[in-house]
Amino acid sequence: MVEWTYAAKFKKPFVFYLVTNGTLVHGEFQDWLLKNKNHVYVGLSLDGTPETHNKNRSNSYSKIDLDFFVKNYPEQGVRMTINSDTINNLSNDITYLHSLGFSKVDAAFASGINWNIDKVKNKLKEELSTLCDYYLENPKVRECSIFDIYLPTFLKKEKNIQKWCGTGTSMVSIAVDGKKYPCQTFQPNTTSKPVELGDIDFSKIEDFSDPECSNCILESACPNCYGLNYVTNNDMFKRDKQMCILMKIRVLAVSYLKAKLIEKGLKEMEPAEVYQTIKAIQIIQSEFSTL
Amino acid sequence: MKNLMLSDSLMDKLNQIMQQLSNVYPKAELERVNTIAFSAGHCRGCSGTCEGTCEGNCDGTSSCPCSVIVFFASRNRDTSHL
Repeated sequence: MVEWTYAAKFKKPFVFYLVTNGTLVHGEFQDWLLKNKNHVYVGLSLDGTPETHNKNRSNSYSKIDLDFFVKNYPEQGVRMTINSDTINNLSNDITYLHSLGFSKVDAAFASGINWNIDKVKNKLKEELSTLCDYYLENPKVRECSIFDIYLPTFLKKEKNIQKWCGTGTSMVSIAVDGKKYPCQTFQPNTTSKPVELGDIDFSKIEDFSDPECSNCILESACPNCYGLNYVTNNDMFKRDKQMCILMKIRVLAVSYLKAKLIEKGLKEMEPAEVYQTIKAIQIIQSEFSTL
Repeated sequence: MKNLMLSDSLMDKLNQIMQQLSNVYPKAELERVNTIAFSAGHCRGCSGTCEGTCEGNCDGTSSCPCSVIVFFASRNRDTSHL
């Protein structure tokens, strides 16, 4: 496909993006990737320490040539998946990934699993608190994606509901039988069932809201995957409500870290941003004090 | 147990900072919310399912290739290994 695309001489720029667990990226394939580095980007899935990664991914840690990824794709960072079995080691996992030299760590809470929220929520708070301490002690380290939430967003009177991705509009996923799907998550090999979406206009952003979330102050910032909604709830608009507590704890952690950074003068911000961030911190700390 | 709640003294300190800013800058300027700055330097941070094909408010880095044709190798999203 890469060679075919070169030959097609598209006027529009293009890239190939590969997500890999790294186990088969060795030898000749590494050479090929480097030869095509301008058009082929590679992102590594790595879940943390060798113990955590091996727990999630069939003892495959030792099969990854980490140096190859750190050296050649440092800007891609790593994709880390967090689940209920690995949450006890979350702060260690993330600080370990920082220590490997990747410029960023994209850490995401697994969707479509049973989270046992009541069991994990206190541990999650504890782990995120430890992680906040780490970032306060190491202010030059780029915070992992868990902390990528812009708090002033929550002050807006009118929620800015946006579609989270290009599913069904700019994105198309073509299955092996040639059938088109809104994105790869809607393909039957993911859903494990026939996909019947009906007549949906994917360009109508205003329809992409879950009525059950309309009273939540976090709605506009809460990650949402329409494909996984469909897999989990048979309804692409209905969010997985297990994620609510995780999101609230995450926002609480962001408010905690930002408050400490402002207190210590460790974060460069415009006056308006400081003002609004503090205002948002006050709301969040009050709203989620009983989590 | 560690938690993520701020102490009263820190909340007071934050209040004081807000007050100091209010004394220097016009309120309208301080309260103008910049909705574009959703998250600095990153994509919107979906749960990772977009596999790099997201088109949110990213910064155009190679991990979020906006405005380009993107081909990607999808993995089977079987979560049974979890």
